[in-house]
Amino acid sequence: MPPIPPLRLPSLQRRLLAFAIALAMVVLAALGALLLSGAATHTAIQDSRTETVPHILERQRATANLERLIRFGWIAATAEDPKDWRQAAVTAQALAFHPSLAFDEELRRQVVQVHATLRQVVSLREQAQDLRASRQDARRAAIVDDQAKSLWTPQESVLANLQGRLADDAAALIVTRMDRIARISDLTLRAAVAAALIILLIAGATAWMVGRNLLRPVVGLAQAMRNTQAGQETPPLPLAATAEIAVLQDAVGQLHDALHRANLREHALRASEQRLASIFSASEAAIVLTDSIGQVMQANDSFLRLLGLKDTLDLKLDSLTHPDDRPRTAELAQAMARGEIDRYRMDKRLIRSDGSVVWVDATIRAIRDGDAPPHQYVAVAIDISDRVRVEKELLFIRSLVDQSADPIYCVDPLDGGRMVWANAATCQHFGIPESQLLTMRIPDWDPRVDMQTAQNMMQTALNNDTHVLETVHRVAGGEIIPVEVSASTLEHDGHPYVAGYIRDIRDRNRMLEAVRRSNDDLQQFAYVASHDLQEPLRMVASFLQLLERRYGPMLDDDGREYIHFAVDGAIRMKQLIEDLLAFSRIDSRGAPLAKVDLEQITRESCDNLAAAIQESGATITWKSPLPRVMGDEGQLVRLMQNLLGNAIKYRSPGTAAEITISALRRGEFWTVAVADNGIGIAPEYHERIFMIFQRLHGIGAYEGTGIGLAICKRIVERHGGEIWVESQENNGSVFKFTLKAA
Amino acid sequence: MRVWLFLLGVLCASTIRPALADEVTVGITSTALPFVETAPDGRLTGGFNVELARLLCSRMGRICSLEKTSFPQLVTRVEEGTFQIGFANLLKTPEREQKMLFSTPIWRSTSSFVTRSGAPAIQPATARQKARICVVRKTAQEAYVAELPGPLNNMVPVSSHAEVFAGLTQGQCDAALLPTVHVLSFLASPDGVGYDYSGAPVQDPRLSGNVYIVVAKSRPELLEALNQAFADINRDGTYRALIARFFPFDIL
Repeated sequence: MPPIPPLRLPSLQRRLLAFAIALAMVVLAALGALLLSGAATHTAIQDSRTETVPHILERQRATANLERLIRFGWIAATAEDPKDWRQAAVTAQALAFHPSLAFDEELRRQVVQVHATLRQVVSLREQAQDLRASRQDARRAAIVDDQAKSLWTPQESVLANLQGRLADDAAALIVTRMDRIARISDLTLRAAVAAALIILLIAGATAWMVGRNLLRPVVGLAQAMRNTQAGQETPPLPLAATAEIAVLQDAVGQLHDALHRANLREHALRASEQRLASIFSASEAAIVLTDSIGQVMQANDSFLRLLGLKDTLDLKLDSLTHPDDRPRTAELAQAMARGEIDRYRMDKRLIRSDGSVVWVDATIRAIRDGDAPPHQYVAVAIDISDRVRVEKELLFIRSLVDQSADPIYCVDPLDGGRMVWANAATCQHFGIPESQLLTMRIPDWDPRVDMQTAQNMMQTALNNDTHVLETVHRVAGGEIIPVEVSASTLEHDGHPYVAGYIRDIRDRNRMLEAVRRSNDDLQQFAYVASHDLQEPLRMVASFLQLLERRYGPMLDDDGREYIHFAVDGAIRMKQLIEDLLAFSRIDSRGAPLAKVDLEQITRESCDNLAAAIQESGATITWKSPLPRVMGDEGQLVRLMQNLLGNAIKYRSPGTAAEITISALRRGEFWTVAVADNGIGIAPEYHERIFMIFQRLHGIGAYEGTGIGLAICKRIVERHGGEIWVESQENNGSVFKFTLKAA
Repeated sequence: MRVWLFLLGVLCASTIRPALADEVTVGITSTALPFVETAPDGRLTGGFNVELARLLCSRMGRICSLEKTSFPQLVTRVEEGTFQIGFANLLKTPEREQKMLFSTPIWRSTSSFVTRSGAPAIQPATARQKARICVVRKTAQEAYVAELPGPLNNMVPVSSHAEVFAGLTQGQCDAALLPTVHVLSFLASPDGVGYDYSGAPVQDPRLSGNVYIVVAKSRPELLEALNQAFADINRDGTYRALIARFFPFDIL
């Protein structure tokens, strides 16, 4: 269970300790109270011993002495023999002043008074004795004795009262002391009862706390343990109330988790064994278990199928290995036996039962106990014949590429265009070794490209499957040579690459330059020729017309017809020259390309053809708006005018021309289509019609010099586009051309 | 052989010594009856103090040797330690506490003047100025009378109560200052006829109060045993019976 720091549970030990302390305090308090009570009782008893008992004894002695005093007084007052009453009187005096009768002031005072009376009694007895001794008056002596006796008699009551008072005092002392002892006993009893109740309360609370915090959790834990032992689901344990129970629950939880994990591991192990058995039997890979000497102990069906075997009796794995692979196999097996390696993997050949060879990706792993030598081996073989074949084919293709005369290389667009592969022709092209080439990036060999441009080029190449560009390369010695590079995007192992195919275009450029010069000369020749031919032609036509006008009446019909042919030829020649001049001027006199409105151009073309449209009854429609394109407005008017004119001119007989213009965007270009319902063009003429002075019909069938579509083609190509026709004979035509979008 | 004899001697010495230690010499003053009774040959035959001494020694388990002596001699020998216990009906004074140990009180006493019957009552303050007074030496009574104003000759110190009574009857002194109880036997005797207490006992704390047995200062353990024995006889009634045998009233 993860620790719950924040959760700080109270300690059962502390609680028990607190209860024990409380109990001890209560017990101590009770003991203290009992001791105090005992002490009080002891004090009371001690007080009784030291105070009450002596007081009582004192009073007992006093009472006894009072009794004696009464007796001595009576003897003193009544005894016949003077010896007796005198001794009694002396003794009574000694007694009257004895401390035993002086502990109480009132007692002492009354006793002294009684003694004073006794002294009077003794004095009277002495007088009576003197009377008797003198024999003067016996009767008088008797009277005096009676007086003495009468004087003493009340004193007995006084002394008896004193005795009663002392008895009452003693009784009161005893009662007081007994009351005090009784109160102390009562308090002791109450304290004992209260202490017992508190102890019972604490004991009950302790029992409740122990039951709640210890017994119940322990019972729950015991039940959880029994459930765990029985493999049953363990109900959630109540939240521990004390740290000790939490620790115990944590321990039981860990034990339960450990047992649960052990069960899971056992199940997983059993399932794993089943899976392994299934994998072993159902695996497409050949799996074989051998003993320490390579004797096959167990093999799955794939192994038998791979090698065309029916069983593995007395089969040793070494015997299946191709002889050429045995040395390497033996070397690795020995290393494994020495403990240097635990497994090895190699592509090797096995010999099937029919003698054929099968390539396998073999993995052999040793099974050993500790550091002991392997006692078993597990071999897993996967048929890689197809892969080996493909690798050989790839190797062959690689050889072809490497040996190609054309430089081919590959750069990493994500590494600044660093060259990552180059064939021999590339090395030869640059005159640089491959090792050095593989450290170079595009700006290192293309002086026109900086790093930013290289990145843009890489991005362009990645966005397009194939990209062809002309540039220059700096080769060994610093020479700059023009090249055409065809860049293609490749992907290998999830990583994009750009493959470049270099073509040295120095010869081609030289040829193109020669062609361009030739074209320029020819164009200059055509221009000069057409321009310079116009004047003599105009002169011939003028003089022929003058000759016809002046001498026509003098000529016969043949002569006039001849002149007419001559004039007509001159006029056609003039038209030819003008068309040729226009054709030659497309490149030389063209305006810079600019954004133009194709719909405006179409309208202008229609306006120029208004007479022909009206005369033929043609209808020209398009869906506005037509796009804006990059172009030479004058040339594009001529382009559309030529195409619309052809559609009107080559309309089907008896049918009004219906011409539809449409435009469709494809990438950076617009494809413009001019469709008609005319006579159509047989497919074999689809290329020819764009050649100069090529006509499909006789001169008399349709007017024209046969240069119109050639001009169209020239104009479209000057704009970087293409023009072609889609048509079938007698089924209308669709002329399509492309123009770069504005 | 000598060694064995030496060891035997040591053993005998070690066993005999405790027995010697249990022997206690008790001094008893030869006061008047009923405290001491003596045979004509001077041997102690009975009396309250003698019986009490024997009773306490018995309860203590001690072998006591009772020796009659005078009061002054007893005080001196207890101070010296030759008497381990002394019975002399002593009152406790600070001076005596410096020299001897006192037991728990054994009875209470007062002191009274004794004169001839019919004589004017003696006033303590002027007693020595008006009469010759007999007292026992080294007693509290002697100390009291010595402090009274009056002629030095008017204080007649003697050694015993018998000499005090003789002094009275023979005219050597006009009065005597004695413990009240000590006089009872004298007054009851033929010699005491014509004599009586002179008024109430003297109201002076030095002359009345508790009477103690004294123990030599060097024997506190003996004092403890003595007190314990006295407590025992007091508790079991033996002491009260003893008192009843010798006194007409309870002197405790």
